[in-house]
Amino acid sequence: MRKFKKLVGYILGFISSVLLTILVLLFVFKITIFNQNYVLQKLEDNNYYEEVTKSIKRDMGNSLMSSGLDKSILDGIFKDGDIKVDIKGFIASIYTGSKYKVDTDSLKKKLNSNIDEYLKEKGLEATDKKSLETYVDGVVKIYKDGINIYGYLDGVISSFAKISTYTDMFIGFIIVFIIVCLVVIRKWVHKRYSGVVCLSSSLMLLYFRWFIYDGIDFKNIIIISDSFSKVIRKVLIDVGDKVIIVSMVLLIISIVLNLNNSLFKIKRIRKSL
Amino acid sequence: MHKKYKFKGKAFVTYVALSFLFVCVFIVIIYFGLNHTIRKYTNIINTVAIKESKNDRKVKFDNAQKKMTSIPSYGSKYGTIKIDKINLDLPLYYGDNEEILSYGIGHYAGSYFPGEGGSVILAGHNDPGYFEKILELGNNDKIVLDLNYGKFDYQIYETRIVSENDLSAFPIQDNEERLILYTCYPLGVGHKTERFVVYAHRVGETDA
Repeated sequence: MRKFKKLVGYILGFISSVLLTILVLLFVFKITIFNQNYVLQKLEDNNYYEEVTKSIKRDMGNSLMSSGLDKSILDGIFKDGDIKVDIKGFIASIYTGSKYKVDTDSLKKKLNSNIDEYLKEKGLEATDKKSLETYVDGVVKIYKDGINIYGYLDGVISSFAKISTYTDMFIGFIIVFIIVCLVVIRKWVHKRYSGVVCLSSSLMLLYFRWFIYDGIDFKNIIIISDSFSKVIRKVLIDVGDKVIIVSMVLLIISIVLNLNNSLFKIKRIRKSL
Repeated sequence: MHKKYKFKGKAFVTYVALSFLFVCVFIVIIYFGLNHTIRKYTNIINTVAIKESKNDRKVKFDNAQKKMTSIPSYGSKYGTIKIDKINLDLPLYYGDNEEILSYGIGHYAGSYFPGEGGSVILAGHNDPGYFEKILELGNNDKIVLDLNYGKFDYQIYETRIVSENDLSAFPIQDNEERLILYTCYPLGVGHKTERFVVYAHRVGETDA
């Protein structure tokens, strides 16, 4: 019976180690990718808003080349600050699970007005109005695509908030399970077994981090656009660093617990009078 | 009262050994259980999403098998396209997303590489400095692809204007090597519903 209890205790110890590893990973995601303030800070630190503004202006300029119109028609159609506001709104919508509508009415109005003014100035007449409308819609789409990353994250938006909620529930469940396991282990194996769990978890984290990061060249990753990729790179490297830090903390805790319990035993010797 | 310290190394070693045993079991589970899945997705990411670093991924072409054994990274420049008739000399990138097309000419990743004996499909904007002037090309005009694994000459045999939705104009086949260039048509204001397509076949045997 005693051996059976010990065996169960060891199995629970292994499960606790794995769950502690998963808990640490979820916690790191919780304070990074699932944290809106963290993401906004990363965008700010990597000049994401300025890069997107440059990219939108460049793409609008490119679209101009085949239109035959002058670049002056793009003057003042939007303010640089509008892009930052829209991106922040879009990011907020990801975390709340709502839909953010990029308001392009004023942009469209100003662009149409600029085109009319330009044509009037040059004494030209737009014979193909439908084509012109399609061009204006194209410019508006460039603005929208710059904000919502070409629509690639539409699928993520609807599920991101749910994933974040489930992560919270899962973290709570894991914590409870680990506590129950440690209580059982304490009774059936040894009262100071938690040091083993911490040490195993620390090494598992280090291995898992190496396994994933060894396979992908994160420093050169490019997804959708350069500016977006720069932020992704920084976030992923930061997540990896945080995992290492937490695993080091767990390692130190495990050493303290193991040292405390197994290395030294203080024996009091009464000196007889 | 004196305090005496006693070393209990055996317990310490047992705990450390147990931890390593747990880690070994974990590694075995990851390796045999999830390795295939994780490697599959990291390979997808590496193929699609990694741009060429300063130490370029070595592009390799097997002359005997007429096949690429190591392809360029998606989004990386791997050669130039030259058309003397229209003074065109542009960088050629692997991939054809919006960002790539703003840098130069894009190679559709679903088509073959020059030298492999199949359809090679290249796209470019119809703006000055890109593919604007390919509209001036005609039969027998020469196109040269100067790549980092060899040089390939082509001669135009047909040009066509097709609908943007006409996929039959861009056949992916491996019976013969065909170079297909395309750009939006016509020039001018607005959305383009047609494509100007240039077809060329490979001429001569050049070094690869």
